[in-house]
Amino acid sequence: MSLLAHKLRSFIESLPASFLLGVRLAASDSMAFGAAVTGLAVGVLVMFVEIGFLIAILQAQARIATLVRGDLIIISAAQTSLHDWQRFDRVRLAQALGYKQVEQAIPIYESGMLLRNPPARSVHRVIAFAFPADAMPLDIGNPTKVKEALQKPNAILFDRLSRPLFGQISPGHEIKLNNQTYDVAGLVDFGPDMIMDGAVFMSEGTWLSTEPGARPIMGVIRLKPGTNITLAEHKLRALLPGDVTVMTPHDAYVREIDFTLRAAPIGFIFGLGAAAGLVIGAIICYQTLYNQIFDCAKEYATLRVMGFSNSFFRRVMIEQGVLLALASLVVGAIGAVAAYWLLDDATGMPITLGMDILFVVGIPTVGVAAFAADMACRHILTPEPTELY
Amino acid sequence: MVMVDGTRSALVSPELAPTAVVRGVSYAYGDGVNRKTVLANVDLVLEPGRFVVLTGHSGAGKTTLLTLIGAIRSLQNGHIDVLGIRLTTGAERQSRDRRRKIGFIFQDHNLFGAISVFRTLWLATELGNMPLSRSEAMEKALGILTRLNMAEHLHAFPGELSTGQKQRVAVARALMNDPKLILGDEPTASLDHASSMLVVNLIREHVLRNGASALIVTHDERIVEFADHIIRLEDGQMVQHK
Ligand SMILES: Nc1ncnc2c1ncn2[C@@H]1O[C@H](COP(=O)(O)OP(=O)(O)OP(=O)(O)O)[C@@H](O)[C@H]1O
Ligand SMILES: [Mg+2]
Repeated sequence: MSLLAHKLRSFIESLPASFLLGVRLAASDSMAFGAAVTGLAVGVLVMFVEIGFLIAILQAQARIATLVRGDLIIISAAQTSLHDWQRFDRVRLAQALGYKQVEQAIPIYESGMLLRNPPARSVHRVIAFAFPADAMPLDIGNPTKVKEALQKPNAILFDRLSRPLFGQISPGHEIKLNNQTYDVAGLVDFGPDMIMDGAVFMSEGTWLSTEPGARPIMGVIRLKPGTNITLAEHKLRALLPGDVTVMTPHDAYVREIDFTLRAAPIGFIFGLGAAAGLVIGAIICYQTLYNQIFDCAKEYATLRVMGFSNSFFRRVMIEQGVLLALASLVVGAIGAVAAYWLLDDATGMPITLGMDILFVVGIPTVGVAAFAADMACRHILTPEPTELY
Repeated sequence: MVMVDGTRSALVSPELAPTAVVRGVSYAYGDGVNRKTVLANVDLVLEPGRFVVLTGHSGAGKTTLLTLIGAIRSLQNGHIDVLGIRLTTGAERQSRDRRRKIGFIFQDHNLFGAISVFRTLWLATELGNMPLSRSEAMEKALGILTRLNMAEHLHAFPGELSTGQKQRVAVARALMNDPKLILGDEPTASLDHASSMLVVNLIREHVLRNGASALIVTHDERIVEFADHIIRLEDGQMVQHK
């Protein structure tokens, strides 16, 4: 303990006088500092909201790929996005089983349907999925419970994360899908995205009873334990005709995000919004430091006359900019948590303030603040500090 | 070499090279019809151990001369050697190095409100030949502040001090690195008689002990009394009195 205290003491003792001088200068005028942090935090909050929402949209769009419980998926080769479902022949799944390392090839069916919830007197489009009750190819809830519920005749499972527009739907209710009555046998977790407001799930048997010749939109492949997935992917591609393609769920996830970014200008729109936040932050940071330099012009000029180098002043100013940025990031992040909660409430697309968003927002913020500080510093380093005497 | 004791005083002797030599320096502000010559062919030698007072009416060019010697302003004509070094024109780094060796005292204290007295003084030592540790700087700062009757304000912030006290901190700051040359422009303008005497005595003693020179612009008769030399600037020319 005393050794530690001693070490700490000698460490502090060894710090130079100019250590964190900029931090001292920035923090000393708490009014100006608070005002600057508030302004900058608004810019930071805008970035958090824009980028958080973009990430939420991208993740929601690609969600089904993250929920696959399997090693590989088979989809139609004509399909470009996980929302533009193209159906393929069920025979392809049987053919996939021809590769000896494939243990299971599970079909998933999908179709848009009209959901009528009699008590709420509402009719809304919903996405319906179906799969063999005992296979559980998607991670949407407890497998045993899902299986039990789906095995009941005429049962559907309702996605409890659906947008509220469907009204109250709980187990025991009856709902109509395309004018046919189903029993709500349970609730699962899936979640809406930009296109879907909600989802229902039923067993393959129930699905085929209304549409006997239905063709799946996805096949989930489970390989035998120890199989090399990449190798199996290649084998299956070679084995199956060209109307379907094989990929890992992760590749499908990446492909979907890539597709969403290219197909819709959301990357650009949200990027522009985030850039606006960054510009606001940079301007406020510059303005704050410029004012500070202006107010302390004689003090800075004195240090220059005494012989402090240009890099000393840049360090002092950049420290101040970085301190402003860090403080605003903290304030902005607190605001972002509230904003994300509101967005989740309004859209059903949850956003978590993870390390990814913190870095995506934090690094440019600190970078831009340092840049603004460096720009402001030019006002200290004017040619000759002759105004002092 | 950092000298904190008094052993150096014995070394002060007339054979030592002058601290500063000013030769044929002329200076004019403005261009064309606005051109105004302020200094005309000024010569000046500052000997080690000397406390020199520079006087002259307002607008005589006293400040201009100080800024030229202190490498705050670029020369137009003539040359100035400080501690044997002549600057190449336009060499930013050279003039910075010269300024680091000079103790500047301005009419205003120019202290950052956010930086304590001690840290202000400690910060100045970063420009010295050898950076001082916190405790070394503390010892040195206390030594100087004691002489200025300011020791109890070591950890004060400028906002807690009177104008005269702040000015004494600025004087202490100029002395932290044992400069060989002290340039002061009305350094006692904001000081009462007692404080002025403390400042003058400290500078005189510093000059003697370190073989340094002080060139102080002042109209303060009480200071003029203590001068080894009094130089008057008249019409841009030097007139030596004492
Ligand atoms: N930056 C400048 N541009 C133009 N003229 C200047 C400038 N600085 C000083 N002058 C002029 O040069 C002359 C000398 O100025 P200087 O400041 O050197 O005088 P001084 O002797 O220090 O006067 P004081 O006792 O009032 O401080 C003055 O007439 C002044 O108006
Ligand atoms: Mg003057």
